[in-house]
Amino acid sequence: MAQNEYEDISTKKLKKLISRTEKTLAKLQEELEKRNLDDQHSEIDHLEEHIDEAEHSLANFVTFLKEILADKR
Amino acid sequence: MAETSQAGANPLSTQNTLITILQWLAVATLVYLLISSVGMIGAGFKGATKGQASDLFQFATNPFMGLIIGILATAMIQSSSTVTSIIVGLVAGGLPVETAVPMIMGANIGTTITNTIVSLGHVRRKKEFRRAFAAATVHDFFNVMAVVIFLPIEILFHPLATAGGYLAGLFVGGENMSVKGFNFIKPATQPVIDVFTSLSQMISDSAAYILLIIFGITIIFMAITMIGKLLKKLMVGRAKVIMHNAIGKGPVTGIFSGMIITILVQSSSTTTSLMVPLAGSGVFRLKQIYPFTLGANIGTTVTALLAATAISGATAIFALQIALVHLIYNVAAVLLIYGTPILRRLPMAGALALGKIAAKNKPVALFYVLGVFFAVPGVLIFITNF
Repeated sequence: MAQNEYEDISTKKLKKLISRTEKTLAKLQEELEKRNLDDQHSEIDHLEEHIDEAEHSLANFVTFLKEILADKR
Repeated sequence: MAETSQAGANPLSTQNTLITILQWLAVATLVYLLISSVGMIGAGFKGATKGQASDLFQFATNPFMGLIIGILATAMIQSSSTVTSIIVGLVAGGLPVETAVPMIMGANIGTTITNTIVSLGHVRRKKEFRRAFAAATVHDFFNVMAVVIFLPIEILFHPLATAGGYLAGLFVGGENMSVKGFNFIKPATQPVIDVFTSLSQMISDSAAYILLIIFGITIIFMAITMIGKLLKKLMVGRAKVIMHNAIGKGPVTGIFSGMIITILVQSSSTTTSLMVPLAGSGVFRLKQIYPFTLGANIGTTVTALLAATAISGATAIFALQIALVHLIYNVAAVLLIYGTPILRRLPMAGALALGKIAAKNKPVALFYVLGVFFAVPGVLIFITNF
């Protein structure tokens, strides 16, 4: 039924609409990519915290064991 | 007002500069000790085996046994740099290169335990754990795959040992038979070796060489651990810049960035462990993390190369050969596996599947760690001996 929505639109107008939608989509994709990159840069800014986390491998293992034991109960 | 703030800031800045200088001096001293200790292991092993090192390591002539020794030793001390440096020292002491090659390959697998354990810390959040565990185990899958491809080829045709031997021949020479351009290292490290040799003799004359090996291994382990800790502090800023620059670029940049960061911090475990929380948060995708971990494999080979410069004399060429085998193996594995689209996808597919299973059933992750790094190698040792 959705296709009837555009039945009354002229071909010229339809082409214009497609072109405009494509442009909007490209802009949206660009914005999404920019946000992803910004998030990645912001995550890298916290590298010191990630290094600290990587240093506590034993603590990570203990956390994991506790979680498994908690699940069992 | 400006004067007050300037007067307040300067002493702090001077203090920071002083601390940085001291930290770099400590790194230089530790590198010196690391190189000396490799020489100690070589001398101790040569003396203890009286030139019959190959007899002592007869049990490891089975390549699978060598591989398992490499996996277990590295998984237990969580440092491939330490294990490969010890292997360089052992080769300098007479361990045949052919016996050492599978050990080097095993060290590559064993080192992946560290980032896998780091990923276990994300267990409380299911999605995060799935992503983190996949990011950690993609390194495992890649390294196991590299062994599956390269070990049989090496057993049959020895391409790695041959290439390493050829390249080592280009670099080793001169009157002292040491790495060209590094002829000063032997006289520089000899005083430390002499001190520990005397100390070993004082403790027990009959077990002096064994004690020298123990001292060497202890110093290597401590030096590499402390170098890693210091370089993490000193290089975190540089690592950030490298990673910021790598964002949005292709996988080749990722591989190079991973390699450079690993060289800077002298630890592949640090680089690969850093990737785990980045993937866990969901901000970085597994596809983006994967090349960094491969670069870490290549970057970590620098430590063994550095260790090889300590050796002079007839076995210097073999010490450099095994260090170069480590480098060639890792570069070849990246070129072959990552360079071939079908092979490239396999470690990612395996890691994603395992991540999903482990997130649904957490004990699977525990069985995986204990199984891959300890139980399977242990059972294989048992089977090989019967």
